[in-house]
Amino acid sequence: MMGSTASCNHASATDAAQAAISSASSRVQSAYGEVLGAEEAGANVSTLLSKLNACTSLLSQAYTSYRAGNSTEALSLAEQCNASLRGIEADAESSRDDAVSDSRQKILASSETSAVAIIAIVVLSMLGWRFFKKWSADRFTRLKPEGRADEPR
Amino acid sequence: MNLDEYRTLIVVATLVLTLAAASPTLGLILRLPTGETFSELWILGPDRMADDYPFNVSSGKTYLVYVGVENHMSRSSYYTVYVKFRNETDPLPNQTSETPSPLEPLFEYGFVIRDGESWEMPLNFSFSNVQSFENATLVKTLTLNDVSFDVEKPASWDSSSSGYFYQIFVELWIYNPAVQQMQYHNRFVSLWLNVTQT
Repeated sequence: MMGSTASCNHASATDAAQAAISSASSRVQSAYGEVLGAEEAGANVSTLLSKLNACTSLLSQAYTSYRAGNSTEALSLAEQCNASLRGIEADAESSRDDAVSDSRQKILASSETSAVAIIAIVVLSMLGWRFFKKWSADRFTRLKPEGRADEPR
Repeated sequence: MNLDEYRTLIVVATLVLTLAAASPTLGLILRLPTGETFSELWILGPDRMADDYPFNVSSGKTYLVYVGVENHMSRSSYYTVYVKFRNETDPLPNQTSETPSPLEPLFEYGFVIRDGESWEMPLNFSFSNVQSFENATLVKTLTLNDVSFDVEKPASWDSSSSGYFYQIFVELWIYNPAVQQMQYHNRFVSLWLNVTQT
């Protein structure tokens, strides 16, 4: 009877550890996806990465303990990992949104500057061309040989 | 130069200047293709050099090596390094088919590193409950970084190399966000060990 209870407790601890590890693993992967999104949007993710690394380390320890047959420790580590993950996804999402907004602002400001510069270049080129054409025509006229006095009329 | 040639010159100069003026904005919008992406995996000896690797190991003694990874994937990458243990007959990863060894991992390290950065951690290992028979040996327990595993791994006497050979090897896995799972990264490094009872 006691043996059966102990075996049942062990099985439930193993199941609980497995479920906690599986949940932590999915959440770590999801958090990594969010951090990656924030990084690709141009956010500074150093703090997020160090928090995420604390979680990945706990998750690996949980897996290792589970494989070594220590379900209780595995459960505890997986729960610590789950607790540490709180806030990372939300922070990553917020960082990504901020980075996207900053990026849009930068693109807008840069587009305005580029547009002004391009208009100025085109206008100056056209004015320059007209001025050059006129100057060239005047020079050509000045260089034209004048009629000689003894030239037959 | 005639007038038409001057006109061509001015048009070309205008186009070049226009492109130069637009380049800061284009740089923010366009994503240029990245170069070759890859990851490095290594094992170093106890002095963090590619030297003095443990080879003849005895039961009860602890040995130290370092495992390292460097990220050149053009983004922060989430890696898992699996530590596995085999004898001469157990399968290794297959580099041609890019498949990992089917052996179950014992110890693992999980970490995220930024592009261009590296990660290195110590791996302590020791063998206990090593039994010797006439032409074979049996390793019952392998301890990796203070975590003990019941491995029950036999090895036959290798007459060509004179020893009972085992291999500790590490596989590099990387998380692929596109398929949302860890995948074998087709990289492994190993350490041959001649395990003796004393």
